[in-house]
Amino acid sequence: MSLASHKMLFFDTLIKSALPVTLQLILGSFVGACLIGLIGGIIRGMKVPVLSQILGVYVQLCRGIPDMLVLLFLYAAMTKGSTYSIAVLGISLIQGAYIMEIIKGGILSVDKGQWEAAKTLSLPFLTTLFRIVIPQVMLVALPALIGQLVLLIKGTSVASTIGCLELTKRAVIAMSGYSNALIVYGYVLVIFFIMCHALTVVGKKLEKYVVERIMGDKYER
Amino acid sequence: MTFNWRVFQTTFPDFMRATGVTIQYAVIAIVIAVIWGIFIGSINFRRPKGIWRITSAYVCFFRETPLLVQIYFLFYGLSRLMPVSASIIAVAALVLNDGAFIAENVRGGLQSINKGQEEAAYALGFSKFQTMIYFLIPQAVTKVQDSIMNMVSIIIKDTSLLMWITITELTYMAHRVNSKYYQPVTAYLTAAVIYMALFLSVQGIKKLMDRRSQKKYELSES
Repeated sequence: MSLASHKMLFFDTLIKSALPVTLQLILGSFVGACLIGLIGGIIRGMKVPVLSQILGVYVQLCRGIPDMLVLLFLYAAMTKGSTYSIAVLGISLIQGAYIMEIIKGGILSVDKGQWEAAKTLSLPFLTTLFRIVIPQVMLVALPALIGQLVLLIKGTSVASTIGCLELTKRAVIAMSGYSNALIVYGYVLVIFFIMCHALTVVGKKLEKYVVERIMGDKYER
Repeated sequence: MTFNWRVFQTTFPDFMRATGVTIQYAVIAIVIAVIWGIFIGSINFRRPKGIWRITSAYVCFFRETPLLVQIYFLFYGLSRLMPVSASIIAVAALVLNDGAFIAENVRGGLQSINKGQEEAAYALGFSKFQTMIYFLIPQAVTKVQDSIMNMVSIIIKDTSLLMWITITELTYMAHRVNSKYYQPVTAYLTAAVIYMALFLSVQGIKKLMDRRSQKKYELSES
């Protein structure tokens, strides 16, 4: 392969036309997953009777069934919607379950005294939840959320198999033109690696910061 | 859009065969990945000069790239260089990917072991290698057995990606049944139930192992 064709493959095909779609996919499904996770996590953390059991079963289902199967099912069963929206729906449904677990763990980890203190100050329930508990949960859950985001980014490559034109699918199409799989998929691997590794590094820094913030003086280096 | 019993009955033997293939790949991949993960994890823990940089770069790279692209890379890339069958590529991809995760867990387990254990073993005259094999690795593995069991259920899920390299496992069978009869609910629900059964049995084994190790712990405490 000449240098010009390398440039065309990497910059024109992968970076310019495929990366925006992948980023949209990541953004869309992360927002969806966070919505599902936040609402479900609050329900499970508060132990709302019937609903939290149903959500518990939902989490188990999402942990047991591969994303590939879910996406293929949605693709076959949904008569409306583009492949992009199907992919966003499927990925956010599955990742939402994991984020739900993270938020639930965060809410359960908040000290009971916080709730009682808010009650003695006669704060309404929703104010307590959103102004006092959730900020603390976010601090604890942020590193885990970033870890989940890395998994989500890796999960978006599965969307290529239902025909969503993102990085992996563009590479599959480009294979017919370049035919050297080591180079074509190598570039895709490198792009994914840069995205995920940057996030992992940020996540590690944040984790350190959060631990320091929570432990205060007790934290020893 | 309803469950079709006729289709279910005619395709059930196919599904069972496909489940066999899935279990087969999952078991082979798990066994090799655990060994590979312990191997790489102990190298990353010991940090011998030179090799350490390569193995830690490998773990970092394979943990942070999607499995599907890795499978494509190995399948289409390696088949250009040498003739290898899809099943070998499948196992290799699963082992390389999930072995990297297991290696990171094992390394964490090894680092959390008290330094005194190692020193005691040296004082008793065990060599470095023997200390690893007899003292450190067994302790580390019991410490991280929970996350290894989680990896097992993740590997079972990961085998679904092997359908794109011509392996007729469970998801592929669901896909094929759907395209043959056009019964999405029947095809995918059957596969989902089988996956859930596999997942729940892995969870059950995990719980049994937990209980056993707790008993052991109590015995050693008293």
